[in-house]
Amino acid sequence: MSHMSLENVTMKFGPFRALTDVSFHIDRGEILGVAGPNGAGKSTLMNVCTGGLRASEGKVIFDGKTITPFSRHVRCGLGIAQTFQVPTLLSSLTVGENLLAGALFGREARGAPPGISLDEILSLTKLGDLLEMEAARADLLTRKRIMLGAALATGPEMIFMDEPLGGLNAEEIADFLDVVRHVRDTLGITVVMVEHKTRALAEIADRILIINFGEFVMLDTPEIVLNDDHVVEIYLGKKHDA
Amino acid sequence: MKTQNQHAPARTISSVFTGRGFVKDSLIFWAVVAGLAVLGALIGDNYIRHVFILVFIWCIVIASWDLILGYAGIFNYAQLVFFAFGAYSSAMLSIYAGFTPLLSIACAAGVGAAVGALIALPSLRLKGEYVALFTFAVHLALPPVIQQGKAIGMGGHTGLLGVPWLNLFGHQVSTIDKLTWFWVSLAFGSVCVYLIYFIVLRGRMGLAFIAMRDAGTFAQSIGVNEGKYKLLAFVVSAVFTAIAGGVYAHYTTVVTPKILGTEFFLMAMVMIAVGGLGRFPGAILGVFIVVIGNELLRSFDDYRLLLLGVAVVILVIFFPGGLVGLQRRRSAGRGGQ
Repeated sequence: MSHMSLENVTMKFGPFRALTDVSFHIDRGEILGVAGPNGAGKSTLMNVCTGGLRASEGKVIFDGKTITPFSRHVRCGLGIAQTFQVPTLLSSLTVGENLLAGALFGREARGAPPGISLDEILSLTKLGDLLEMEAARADLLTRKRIMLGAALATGPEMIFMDEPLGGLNAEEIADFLDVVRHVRDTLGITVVMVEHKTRALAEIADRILIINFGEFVMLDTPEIVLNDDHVVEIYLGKKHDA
Repeated sequence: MKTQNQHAPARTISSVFTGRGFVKDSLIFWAVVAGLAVLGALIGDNYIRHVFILVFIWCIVIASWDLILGYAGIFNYAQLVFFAFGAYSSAMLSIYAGFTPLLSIACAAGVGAAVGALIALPSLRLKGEYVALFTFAVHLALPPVIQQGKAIGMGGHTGLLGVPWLNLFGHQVSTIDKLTWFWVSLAFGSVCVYLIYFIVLRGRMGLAFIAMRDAGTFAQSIGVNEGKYKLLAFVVSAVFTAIAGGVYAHYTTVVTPKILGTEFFLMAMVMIAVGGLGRFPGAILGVFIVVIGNELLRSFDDYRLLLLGVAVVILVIFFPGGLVGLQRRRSAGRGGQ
């Protein structure tokens, strides 16, 4: 069951093509990992999906509806959320107000109350005791949890996460992966995760998408993708090069 | 036990945006306003009353500017353009169309809304500092336009003289009647400042403004309609400033292009710099300090502008957050000990 699909998406910046003719489906309720070397077009792909960029050619389809020209807040209203690589929060407000903003504007964009209650978000993100704290004073892991909490407060059906594990240590990674699993398992949200840490990705993702030079390489289960000679070559270079 | 009704989760977020401290803060605000009203009667000196009247009118301008610059984080430098449109439209409507001043001030608010929207539209397509360049260019371009506007009755260089006095329920309030004007300007000032800081900025609009200022992209991703709220910031800010312009026109009975001059602009800058942006009541305190300080400096005459300029430079270098920044720094220091 396709939740979102890209059809022949090309993204040009002047003469430069950041994405070339990319097509694939994201299944409802899956955790999809997106990987590829630096500059492969992962961030561009994510922006095309969440509304940060408008695809130059091709279509982005969500729930059977073409959303290619829609901006971020409209897509938020349709149920597409995202978290960013660098957690920029509403830093002059409290943690609680960050979540409140998500609930309030998510509702405004959607035109209906979001289907995720504050209790669920608090039990998931463990922010219950920190609601009164200034968001600016939170550490990195907490900032990531706040950002995720605010995104969930909008009541999404699908969430895009840009390198959510960056800067975390092994223990924190395990913690955060647990949270991501809960997002999918208990809230039923489709998760798309752009990540450099392939081992963690293999652990959590149902399928992994590999892109390189802005082109689709492959999309399959972690075992198949990470044992594929071509993918290994992209990451490590050709075996017989040395 | 999980409730079926998801509109009312078991836990709610307590925040100024959901009404925390609203009644208490409102009571304090109106108590201060009442105190000022009594003060007006106690002051015997008409000159001091005049200074306070200017303070109250400036409070509206600066609160509006704080809304767009401090809270919404939009580098708008066309604030006095809104003021000028308010003053000219209110003056012209009462002179040429014979509107009673209160009605022409209300119409000036409408003109302000239109001008705000007009300046907002190109600004929405610009980023950060380019908004500052564009809006300040509008400010600089307006005086020559007003000169040319002599043909349509804008009075050119000398401005509009003999703007009608305020008519309050059949009672003409002359410029010399400082006590009535004290109360009238206090009423306008306090209602506008209250609407800005307590209603607009503590509501959804205020939260949207702060969200856009703190993290624009993140704000959009959680559903903030950037175009809509930036437009609203311009329009709301312009409406209140135009009202201030209208009140000013009927108080001084003279409107000249001087309101777009260096002195007014510098004054406004110093008020913002002294008080600090984005944190009530910083900017309002700035108005009181600067207007009163400016009057105390009257004896320096030609050097006053220079002193104002020096004040801006010193404040920006040593106290970048203004008064509220100072208070914040102190409480942060205490927290660290």
